[in-house]
Amino acid sequence: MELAQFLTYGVINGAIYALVAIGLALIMGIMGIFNIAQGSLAMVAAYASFFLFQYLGIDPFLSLVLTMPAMFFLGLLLHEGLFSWMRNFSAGQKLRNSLLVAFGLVLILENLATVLWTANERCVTTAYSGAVLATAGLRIPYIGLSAVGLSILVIFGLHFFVKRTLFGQSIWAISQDHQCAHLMGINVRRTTLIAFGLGVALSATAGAVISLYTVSPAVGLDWTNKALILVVLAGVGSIQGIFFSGLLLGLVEVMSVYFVGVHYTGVAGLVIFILVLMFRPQGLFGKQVGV
Amino acid sequence: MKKKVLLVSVAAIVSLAMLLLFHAPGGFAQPAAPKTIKVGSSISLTGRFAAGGVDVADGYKLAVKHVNDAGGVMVKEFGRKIPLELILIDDESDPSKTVQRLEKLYSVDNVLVYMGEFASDMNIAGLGIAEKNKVPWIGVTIAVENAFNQGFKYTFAPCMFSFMEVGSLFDALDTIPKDRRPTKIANFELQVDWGKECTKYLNKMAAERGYKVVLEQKYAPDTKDFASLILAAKSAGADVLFSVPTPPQSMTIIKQMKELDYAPAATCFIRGPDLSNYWQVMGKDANYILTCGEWTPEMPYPGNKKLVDDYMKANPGKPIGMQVGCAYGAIQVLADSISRAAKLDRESVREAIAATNLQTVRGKVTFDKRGIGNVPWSLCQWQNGKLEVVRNPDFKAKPVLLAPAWGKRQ
Amino acid sequence: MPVQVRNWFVGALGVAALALLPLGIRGEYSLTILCTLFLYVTTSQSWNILGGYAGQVNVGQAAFFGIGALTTRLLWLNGMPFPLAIVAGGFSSVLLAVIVGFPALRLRGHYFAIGTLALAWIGHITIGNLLPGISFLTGRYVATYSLVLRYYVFLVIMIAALVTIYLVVNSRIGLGMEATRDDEDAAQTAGVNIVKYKVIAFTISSFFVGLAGGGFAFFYASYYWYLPFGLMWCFEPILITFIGGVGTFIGPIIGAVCYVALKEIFALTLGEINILIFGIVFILTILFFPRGIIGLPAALRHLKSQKVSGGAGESIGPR
Repeated sequence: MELAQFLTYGVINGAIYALVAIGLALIMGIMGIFNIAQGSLAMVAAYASFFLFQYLGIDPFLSLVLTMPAMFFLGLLLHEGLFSWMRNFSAGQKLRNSLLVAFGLVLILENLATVLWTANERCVTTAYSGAVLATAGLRIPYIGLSAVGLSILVIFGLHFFVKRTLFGQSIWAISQDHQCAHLMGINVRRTTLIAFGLGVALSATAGAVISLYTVSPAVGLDWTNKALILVVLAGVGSIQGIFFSGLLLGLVEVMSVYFVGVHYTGVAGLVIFILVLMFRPQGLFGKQVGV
Repeated sequence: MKKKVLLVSVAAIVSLAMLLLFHAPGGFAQPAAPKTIKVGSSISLTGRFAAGGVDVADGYKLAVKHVNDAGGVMVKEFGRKIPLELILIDDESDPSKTVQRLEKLYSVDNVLVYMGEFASDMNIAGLGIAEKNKVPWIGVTIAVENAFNQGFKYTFAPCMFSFMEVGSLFDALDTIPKDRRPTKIANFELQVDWGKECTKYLNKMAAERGYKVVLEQKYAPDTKDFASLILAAKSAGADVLFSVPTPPQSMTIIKQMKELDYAPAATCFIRGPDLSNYWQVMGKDANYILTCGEWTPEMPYPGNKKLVDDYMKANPGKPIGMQVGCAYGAIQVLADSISRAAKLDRESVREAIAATNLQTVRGKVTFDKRGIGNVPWSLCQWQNGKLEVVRNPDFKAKPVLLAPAWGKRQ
Repeated sequence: MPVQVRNWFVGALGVAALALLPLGIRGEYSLTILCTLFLYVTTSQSWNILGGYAGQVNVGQAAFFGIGALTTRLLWLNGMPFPLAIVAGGFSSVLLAVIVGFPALRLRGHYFAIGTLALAWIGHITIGNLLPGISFLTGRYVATYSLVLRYYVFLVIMIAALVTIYLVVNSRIGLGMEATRDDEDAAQTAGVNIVKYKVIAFTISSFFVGLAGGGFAFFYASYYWYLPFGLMWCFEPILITFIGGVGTFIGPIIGAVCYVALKEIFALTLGEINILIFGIVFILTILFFPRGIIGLPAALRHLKSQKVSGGAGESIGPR
């Protein structure tokens, strides 16, 4: 049935949006660093996944064991070089300066990617690209299914990590009040460094999925914009909320085809976003605490 | 406070100084023979359209090199050959910057002719400047016919326009025996001007030539999910699919068509699959896709072999993009026009361009009154890893292959 | 106040110099660059009064710029004299602010910022769908095109914006805005009508952004209708204001001069990697001037005093 097929794609698309946003949710929502280079980092990770597939034949979902650590280390380097000096800034100053630094990074990454890899569009086409799980009249693409699975794993995994592990809780504590966290014995410097690396490593998961669709050097900002919408829709600081908000956005977009046509699905999603903000200014799952 | 005064004054002086440096004397005509003939282009070397931009730049540079290797262009006015000097400046795929670049090329570099670039967004900005500055403009990839219905006199484009792209599809379909010919067309209309122009011609030509448009659906440049379009085309029984998607969309649509098991006998995406690496990234899923046929390395037009050989030598291992040939052809038109111009000034060159009748690497080029090029209506198809010409009025092309269902492909 | 008088004097000097400039320099390139500069100064300062002084970070300025451009272009090409058309553009932008901007002011912080971004994004997609084509200047418009005229139009718009904003931010209204920015709740408790100041800032901001959009529409001979709605028109004024020095009057001006000049020089001299180098320089600028380029004199002073006294003081550079 057509409606069910649309809903299937809605869930898949939503899960992908959530994957792109989760790294930003950690870095921006919890650490207060306005990293608009998140989409560009996902782009770099997507290229890594693409080249690992093209030259070594490794499936993007499998090459995550390589790309995630690589992006983690890249994140550490970026933090030390570009963001650590803002550690003790006020929230407003940190937001502003991190925005500027991240923007410089966006330009650098895009131009570097164009020079190194050309601006031609790339995509990974695996043996199972296009293959579907056909049940009950529905065609569920395996790639989409895997993306949803990955999204659930990553987001709820992160949520569990932040709420239940000691390290995760120290990240959370720092986001609430880093003076206090410091007094409590948390090594603020090391924790924020690792948390940032983690946020960048998460972009590798988005990159893997993106590479299965299409990637080119200029897509960074587009994905970042989507991620920003989602982080705010969920409520800044929320992690689980990212998944559900992503689903909401994906489903709204596919359902809006019935009302406004395919060329306005983007608008429909944004309108719902704004309506949510009007009635719940702190986002769907947001609390008033945090940054 | 003193700091503020100092700052403002310094900033003002610096900017003024910088601009004074760029002040150029007016006028172009010079009494003695110039050392070089300057032509300029604002090109998207960075940003969204860098893929095509770099290819266009490569084509220009190669053609200019060949012209200069032979000593340059023969200029009647001075009775000797003068080399071309090509000035390329990046505009970041931003039309606002295009205008700045073109004004610089005009008032600082005093170029004789503007050369076009890859994407419509910027080309359009360039057309207005060319007409305003009265500088001849030779385009390389521009498909919007409307842009040439404005009565502009200085703009020329030796390339395929919307009505030619659509016409070439029908020409190709006509070569299929009537009993196997697909005639039910689904049109996915991208919401950009040339998408709508293609729709207009699709409807017109379908009616005239015995085809039927059974579906017309709209989508936008940011659309990523095509499920509703594909399912609608499937249920309408369309066996021809036409669209002018952006390059990423030309990949996602095909992938989703495979997921939803929709395989029309003929899929024609004018833009996207014309990228040289399309098969490399799409694999066998790219098979049977029809696409723009402006130029391929194998076309038997004079000069192609040299072009391709030199390009391969300079760029080992890099597949040669369609825009390289188109750009090369545009420079050929330029050089030929300058050599026919009575004098080495913009007006004479403009008249010479309008009177062009030249065999280039992309076929014969003449221009109509509007500046639209009369070029061969050509179409390509990806066949087992190669981009083959399946329709061309000048030489025998490969036959069009009809696509089998997804499950039946090797 | 001597400080104010000196500011006006410097400003008048600058205006006179710029007004007389086309007499000496008539190159299209120079004039075009200056038009671009004036445009960026206007949009950045307009953003600054709302974002820097009143603290409401509007990431949706493209919608206002775009509507100003759209209104002006439609009216002008249908016969209205361009000064009226441009002013109409300014008012159309204010109208947009009334309809969608003021309600958005209910949102705070991140939510206002991303909410306004969503508005601009909606505008971009919608205009792209409704008007997917090109606006051409034809016939008499292109034959009588005068770049010098457009130079003065942008100059006048910029001066109007700068003078108005200077007067406002140095008045009690400016104080109210800054109080709103610094601590909304505290200000409200102290009896400051924060809604009023946000609204005033938004109105002034949108009016001049709309005028700038009108100038844009008057300037370009041919462009896609959706061009002034592009999201870079949201981001660039913010970046320029921040890098120059947010919440200061000179900040956007300095930022715009440096941004336009550097971008141009790099594009002309560095070819393929010009954006890469610009990005690196951009980051270096923030690392050395965390408060914006406006902090340059203070940084130099600090370096001098550090050398003299050998004291630690508040760190300004990296680490």
